[in-house]
Amino acid sequence: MSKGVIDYQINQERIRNLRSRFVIFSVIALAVIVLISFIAFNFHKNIILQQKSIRKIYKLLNKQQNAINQISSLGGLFDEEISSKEMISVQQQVKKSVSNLKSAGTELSSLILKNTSASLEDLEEYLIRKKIRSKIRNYTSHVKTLLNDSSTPAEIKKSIQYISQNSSDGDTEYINELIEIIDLEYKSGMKLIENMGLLIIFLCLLEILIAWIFLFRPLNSTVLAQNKELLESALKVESASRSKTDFLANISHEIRTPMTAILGYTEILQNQSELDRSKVDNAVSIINKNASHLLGLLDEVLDVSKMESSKFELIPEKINLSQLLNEVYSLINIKASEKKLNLIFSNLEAIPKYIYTDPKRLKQILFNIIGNAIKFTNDGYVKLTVKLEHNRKLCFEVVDTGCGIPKEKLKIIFEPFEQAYTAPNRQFAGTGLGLVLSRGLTRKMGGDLKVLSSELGKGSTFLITIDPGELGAHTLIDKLSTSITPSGISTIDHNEKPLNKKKILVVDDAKENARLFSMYLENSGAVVEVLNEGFSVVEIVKDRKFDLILLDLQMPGMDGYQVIKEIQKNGYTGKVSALTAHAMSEEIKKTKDYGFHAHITKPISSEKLIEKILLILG
Amino acid sequence: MKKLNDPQYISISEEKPQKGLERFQKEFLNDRITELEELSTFLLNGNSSSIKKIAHKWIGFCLPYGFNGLDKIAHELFKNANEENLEKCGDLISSAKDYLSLKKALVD
Repeated sequence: MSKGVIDYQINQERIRNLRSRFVIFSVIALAVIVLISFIAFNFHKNIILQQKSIRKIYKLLNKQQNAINQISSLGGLFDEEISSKEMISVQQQVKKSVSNLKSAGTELSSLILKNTSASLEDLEEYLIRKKIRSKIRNYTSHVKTLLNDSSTPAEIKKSIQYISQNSSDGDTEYINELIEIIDLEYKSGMKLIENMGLLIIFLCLLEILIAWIFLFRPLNSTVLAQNKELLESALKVESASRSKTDFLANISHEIRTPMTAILGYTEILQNQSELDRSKVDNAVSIINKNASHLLGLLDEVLDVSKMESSKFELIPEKINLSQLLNEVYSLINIKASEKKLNLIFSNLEAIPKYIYTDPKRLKQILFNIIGNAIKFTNDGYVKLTVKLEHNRKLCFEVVDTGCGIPKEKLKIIFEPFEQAYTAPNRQFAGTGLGLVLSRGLTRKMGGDLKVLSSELGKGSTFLITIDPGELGAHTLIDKLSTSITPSGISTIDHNEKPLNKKKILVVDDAKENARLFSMYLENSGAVVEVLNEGFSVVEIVKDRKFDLILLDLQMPGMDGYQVIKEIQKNGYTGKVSALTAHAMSEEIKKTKDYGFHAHITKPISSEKLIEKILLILG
Repeated sequence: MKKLNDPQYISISEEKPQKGLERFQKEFLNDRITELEELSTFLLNGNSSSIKKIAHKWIGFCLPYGFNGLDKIAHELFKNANEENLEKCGDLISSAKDYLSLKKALVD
């Protein structure tokens, strides 16, 4: 499980986006708020100033109205018989009223002129249009007549009459009209303030809405999504932990079962002093079988662990596909026969005779998948079909007539520690690692493993694909034939001379090896020459070519690596195989890097040596 | 890791050379006894790399000549010489001596 439970990168990206969006939005929102506030503040300030002016005008008009009313009420006294003392008092009051009237008028004009408000400009226009100022001057001149000691009674009477007529209308009618206008202006200003308030409230709500849509809602979704992911991953971890617990329980059982047999039979061997040969052989055989099974189990666990920590390496080589499948067939048919199942291996169209892959791992995959098919099939057949696809992938389709896989298990059977059936009675024993290991191996081999189909009660079809390597001008076989070949017996016919007159040079400083390999190769029909050190090889290949050179790596003087480097430098193009006791993957890689065509590990049986040589020679 | 039914786990009396190599067993045995002397010298000198070379050589050919026990010792000797565990190498060289003495009795 190399992918993390939560995709950390995607979440980090999401958070970064949200953060930058938050910053941008906050800056824009702040700018908008500041702008709107500034505009609103100015607008509000202007309206307030206007309202203040209107209130002042209102006061001034009232002052004028009061002055006129005072004059009007005092004007009548000028026509009456009153004492001179009273007359003086009346005159003073009238003078005061006139002064108030004039000062109010002056103040009003000044106020109107100073103010730049549009409504007050209308007011000025009204005053000019209605000739209010001249009317006031006219009015005050009549009042002055009353106050003038030199005025004649007729003039006084005329003035009193004028004043009386114009106190509420005529020349002074403007005051009421102005008051009405001012009143309207005041009300309109108040309305504006009200509307302004509503507008600001609307803008605030709009900003809140925008903040919610562009900020809080994505934030909320992100938090909810992360919460959901966290919950899912917590469930996954819990499930994985449960699976691990199940696995440990399984593996404990899988280990205990063979260990019990091993310990039991070794105890029998220990305690029984006299056992006949057959019983001893039987006990040893059972111990051997269980120990091998245990070893296989531990290997599986180690392989899975290596695969998950990416330390796994394949060791590809050229192999005979037909031969490999024969080996698999012979071994696995034992299990099929025990359950009286038909085991069929066949091919669709021609398939390559040789492929380039890791034979041990390919066998491991086939044993696992076909083994599973046999395990879960009680009657019918298990069929393996081999095919070379157009995309150059080699396909192995495994079909069985078994119990099938439940739908809900199809998604999880390739997970570590998961099995299709984990019944308490452990009818189908296993570790739950076979499929995950097989899939990991096929993917490393350039292919995949999947379930093509599965039906409960009817069976399943698995498809294994691998990259067969560079086939070049490959030989094809039309029909795959399988035969049961007991292990340890070679498929080479010893009556034939498979290396018929092939010229092979054996280079090894140890005479024992040279003798051994000469014997093997000559028995197979090869013409063999032996050299015991590297310098002679460099000389001999200058004017001679061999079908194959088997070159030991560890030699005194010039070792195998130095020899191949030297002969290739001199233009030697024949095939050279390393022959060494080193079997580690690093050594195999090193020989490949140095240009060896193959790596043969000592010790090796005659049959295996000849098989390998036939593969090298093609 | 070898399986239990691999040849090297059989008893010394059951060890058999491959067909065609029977006549070379005695010569093989004598050559190994000579090399054992060399191993003792290398051990005294603390020369683990030379011990390793001989062990490596033995791994390559002991089995076909029917010296299964020596093959097993050779593997252990190679590993310990590689790790420069001279004490263990000494024990293994002694085991090889005992083995070859037994083998000589059988082959002669």
